Amino acid sequence: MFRLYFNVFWGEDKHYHHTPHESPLVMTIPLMILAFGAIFAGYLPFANMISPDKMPMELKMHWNIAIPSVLIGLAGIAFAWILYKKKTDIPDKLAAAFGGFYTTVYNKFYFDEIYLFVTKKILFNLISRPVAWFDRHIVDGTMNGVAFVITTASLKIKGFQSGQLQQYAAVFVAGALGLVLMAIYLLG
Amino acid sequence: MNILNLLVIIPLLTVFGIAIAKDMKTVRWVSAIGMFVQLLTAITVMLLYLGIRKSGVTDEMVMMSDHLWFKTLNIHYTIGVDGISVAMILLTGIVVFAGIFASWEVEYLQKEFFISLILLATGVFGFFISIDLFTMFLYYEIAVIPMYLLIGIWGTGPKEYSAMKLTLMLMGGSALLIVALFGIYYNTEFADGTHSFNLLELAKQTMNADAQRFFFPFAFLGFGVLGALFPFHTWSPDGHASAPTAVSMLHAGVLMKLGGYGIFRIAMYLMPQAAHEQAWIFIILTSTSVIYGAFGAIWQKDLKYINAYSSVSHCGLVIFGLLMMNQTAMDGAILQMISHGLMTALFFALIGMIYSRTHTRMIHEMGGLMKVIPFLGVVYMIAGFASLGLPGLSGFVAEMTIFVGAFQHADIFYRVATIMAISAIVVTAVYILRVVGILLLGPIKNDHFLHLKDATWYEKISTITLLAAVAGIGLFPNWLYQIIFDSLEPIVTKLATVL
Repeated sequence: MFRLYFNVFWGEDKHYHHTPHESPLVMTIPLMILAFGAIFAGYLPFANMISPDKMPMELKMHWNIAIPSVLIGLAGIAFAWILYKKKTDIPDKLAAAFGGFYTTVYNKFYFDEIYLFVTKKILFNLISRPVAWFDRHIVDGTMNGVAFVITTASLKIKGFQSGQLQQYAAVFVAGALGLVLMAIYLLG
Repeated sequence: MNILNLLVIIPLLTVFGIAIAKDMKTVRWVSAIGMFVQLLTAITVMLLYLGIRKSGVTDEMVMMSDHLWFKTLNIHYTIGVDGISVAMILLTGIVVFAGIFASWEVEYLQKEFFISLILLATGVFGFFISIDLFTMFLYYEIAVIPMYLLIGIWGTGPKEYSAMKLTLMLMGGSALLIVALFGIYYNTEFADGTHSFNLLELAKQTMNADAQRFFFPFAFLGFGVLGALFPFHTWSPDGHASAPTAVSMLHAGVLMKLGGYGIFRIAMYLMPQAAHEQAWIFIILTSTSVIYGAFGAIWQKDLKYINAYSSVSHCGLVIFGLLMMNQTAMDGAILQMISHGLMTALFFALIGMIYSRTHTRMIHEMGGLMKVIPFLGVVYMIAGFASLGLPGLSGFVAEMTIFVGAFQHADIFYRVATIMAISAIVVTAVYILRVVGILLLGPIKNDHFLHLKDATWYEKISTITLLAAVAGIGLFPNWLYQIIFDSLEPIVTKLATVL
């Protein structure tokens, strides 16, 4: 946090296109109110106001946690002071020392790349594309296949309705003959 | 006279009015006024129904009337409603009303278009008020057949192929269905040896168990084809893509719900034992539908195909919820029918409006439309959020209820299927947001699009009606949930007594 603070507000002067100036009161008064709240909110007796059974909760001050944590925070601020208040090359040396680990953290553990990979290559390419292909060619193809079979079959047997009396007579006689033969075979 | 008859008479009068109209303007206004009156009737029926229930009537179906039609087969013209029917009638009323305004710019053979559209609507309304199975089937056919004309004449792209494929596949479903209906008729024995097509009387009897096992797949698949059950869903992508706007709205929004409605009202209610025994097969098919539709939608590049596969996925979720056979999941399934109906009608309306401006449906040819047509862009985004189940809109209410109900099943097979179906929500978010990003955000890809006009007054009526309904159900779902819950009781009881 203090790296941010020291980098922005301290360190060397940079050239700005637009001279930086203090914000008007409209913007700074809310900041003052919020800062006041941030500093003194800890003094609010929350234990009396928020409790499950309307009885004030017992909140003890654990000094063995409070003191070390404050000291660690102060140490962090001191560390940032050393590294960033004036321009030094200690940060660059540290980054170089950590090497690969630094690059991984810098690239946010490559999470974005992983997400994009899973979405584009796996979900889109490996799952959606085959699904869409399957739907268009196999499922649709089956339905089109059924239609094709029916139309082809009807095309083939369409010749049966020829209008030729000779053909009709021939079928009639052949059918009658067939029935007579079947009758003789089954009844005889 | 029974007010429910008005739901069929008003559309027929509108058709007559259109037939005698002399010019395009009259045709449009007659249709609009007719369907507005129809919407008011639907709302009145809903309010009457709520009043009847509040006064303590606990009959399964109310507002009934019965006329003998064909004595030999004991076919009656019996109509009546319960909570679920009333909700579906309201849904149809809203979608048809919005659809008329979405087709305001049809110019070729206008009379015939509106006549066919309203005839289709008549069939749907009749289906929801019927109690006699044969009457229900009659109205189902009336709802399906005009599709061929509507897509084949007024459609775009490979319209003859799509119209033929859609009609033949749905006819195939009806063929399976009529077999199932006669199977139910002949195999349900009444005490005095007669047979009946009346749903309520059939429900009081138990159908022969072997006959149930034989006919349940017929009934389920017969309705499942209409509800876009994998692998009989292929009429849906081509059909919706080639259909004109209002036809897609009506078809995806309402007709696909006929399938879901028929499944629980006829297949599960009258054949509960077979339903329990064979549910696992159909759960595998519907889970596949849900995930397959979602993944299929990711790869598509045409707006209408994306929406059509999305409809396959969401309608699969409806049947999935119904197959869980407990009250919560089935309630969620019916809420999903209503929610998805409104939402997909809104989507198709918007796609039609965008297409009429940009003359392309390929998402990669469009971009940055939010800057040019902000009204349509914002409505599209909200519709997208409803589709992916954002809380506050109806999609969330429905999906959450289905999944909560589905997970109540202790059996591990059902739970695994539920988890797989839930994972489809993430995929839904992917394809919805992908389309929103490519279509509405980013740079404007084609300079011709810089001068597109935003929504006209009739387009605003159409989209705002549907959007208000989607948001209304999302924010205040409890009244709807309650009437569906109460009406599901007889069905769930019958399903539970067979276990």
